[in-house]
Amino acid sequence: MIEDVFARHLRSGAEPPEGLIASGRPDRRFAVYRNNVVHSLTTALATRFPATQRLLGIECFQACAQLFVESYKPISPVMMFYGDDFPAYLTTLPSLTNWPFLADVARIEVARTRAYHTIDRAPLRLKVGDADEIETYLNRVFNPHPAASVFHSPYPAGTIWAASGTAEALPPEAWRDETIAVTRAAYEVQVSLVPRGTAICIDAIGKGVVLGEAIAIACHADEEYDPALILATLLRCNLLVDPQQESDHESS
Amino acid sequence: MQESRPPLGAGVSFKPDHYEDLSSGQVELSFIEVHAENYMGSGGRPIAMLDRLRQHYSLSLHGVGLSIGGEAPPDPQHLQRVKAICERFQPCSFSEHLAWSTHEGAYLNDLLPLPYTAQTLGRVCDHIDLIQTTLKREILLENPATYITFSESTWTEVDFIHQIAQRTGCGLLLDLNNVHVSAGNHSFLAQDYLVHFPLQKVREIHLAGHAIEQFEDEKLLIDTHDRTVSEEVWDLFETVIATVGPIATLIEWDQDIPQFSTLLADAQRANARLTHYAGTMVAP
Repeated sequence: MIEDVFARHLRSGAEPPEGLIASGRPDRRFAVYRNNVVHSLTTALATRFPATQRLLGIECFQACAQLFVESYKPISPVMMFYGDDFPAYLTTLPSLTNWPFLADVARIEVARTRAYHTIDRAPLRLKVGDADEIETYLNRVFNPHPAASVFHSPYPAGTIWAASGTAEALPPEAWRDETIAVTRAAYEVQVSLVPRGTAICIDAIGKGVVLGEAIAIACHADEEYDPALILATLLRCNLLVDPQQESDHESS
Repeated sequence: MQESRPPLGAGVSFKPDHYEDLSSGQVELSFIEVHAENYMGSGGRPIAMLDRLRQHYSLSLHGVGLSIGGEAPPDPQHLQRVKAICERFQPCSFSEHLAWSTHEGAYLNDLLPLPYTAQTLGRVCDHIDLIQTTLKREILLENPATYITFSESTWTEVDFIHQIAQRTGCGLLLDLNNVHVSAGNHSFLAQDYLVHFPLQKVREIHLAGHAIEQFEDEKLLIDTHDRTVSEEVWDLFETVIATVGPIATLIEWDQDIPQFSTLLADAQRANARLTHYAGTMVAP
């Protein structure tokens, strides 16, 4: 089939396939399609990974993106989610071995896109003065907010991500690990540095563990962590939703 | 089956950069159009923006991912996404391209050409039947801009499209920039193409800008959607609406997005010509 041949030649960079007619030079005409495919896919990656591109520089980013595009074609026409594998791919490039933090910066950008397009859900709120009710809340099951991603980086990836958007990006003052929460408030995506236990806590909540126990698991994993601080982080960063309110939302 | 027919008058392709210009509904436009695939998230600001704009303008959805011209049927999962977004936004029209973009499960993110043969005609019609049955609505099929043709083609593009419309009952989206680009690249007269094109099936016209690459031995026209509509394409527009009367007309601009006023100027120019041929047209 001509389509198989066409696609194969698009990928291989070979001469145009037999059977094409062009008023001008077939190689030049076929190159338009090849360029369109590569350019549109690398542009999609540049749109999704602006901080990664700023850190690498346009030329270097384009080179990395082109290598990725050759191996990982989108499996869906919904291009805003193309590149979920790009952060992991960056770790395989020998030329980036001196940039071990870069993949985690890219992971933040993956999470940001996901959060931006995810379903609208009101985050869990506790009113000030609800101290008597906290015990009740601690015994309840909640869900991670659908926009929330929390992960740990052995590098100051969150600080580097934030600095990449400033005019004069400077290296982080403290080169230390960070736990990063990507969430959404209304339509605004937020990136926050959070206590390390938050990631463990959210993981437990996602498995159906009641809130108080999830916080205890997080604190047990690292005795430095303060249960009140983790609870405050969960609320401040919009990391939880109330399953009861979710079902109300779906039935409304 | 629900009809696809944008309202008469001029519209623009909507880009988020122009949300502030359009959100109040003060700009007079007949409709806005978006690429359906850009609004296939499950929530967030993009969806909220479209919901707001729908309060003021008819919404047309333009798909780029069903790969109607492909060997394989449209991806069932993607077809369900299209169905969901049509049900969600109830657009005045859903349109797609006579092209293929998916091969062996990989999406290539470009509109690639197909030979025009009895075999490809049959499969394109099958794919459109499947889409229209699934969506329970008529779709509009857009003519492509091409840079090469195939020696195995046994149909002209116009006859091929005419056959598709007759067999499937789909409507047509006539992209006049595509006609001009293909005519320039394949050395035929765009006016001849239009003489034979089934204009009575056209529910929407697209106007857009293109780039010209001049080489020593040839001139290559590239369908870029990154600039204002060329005078040659305006001439084709005049020919069509002088022949069949006003048709809903969209100004497409997908790259190097300009100030909204620049886009609007092309829409107003289109609308002025539509109004001229309509006698008394409604807004804009």
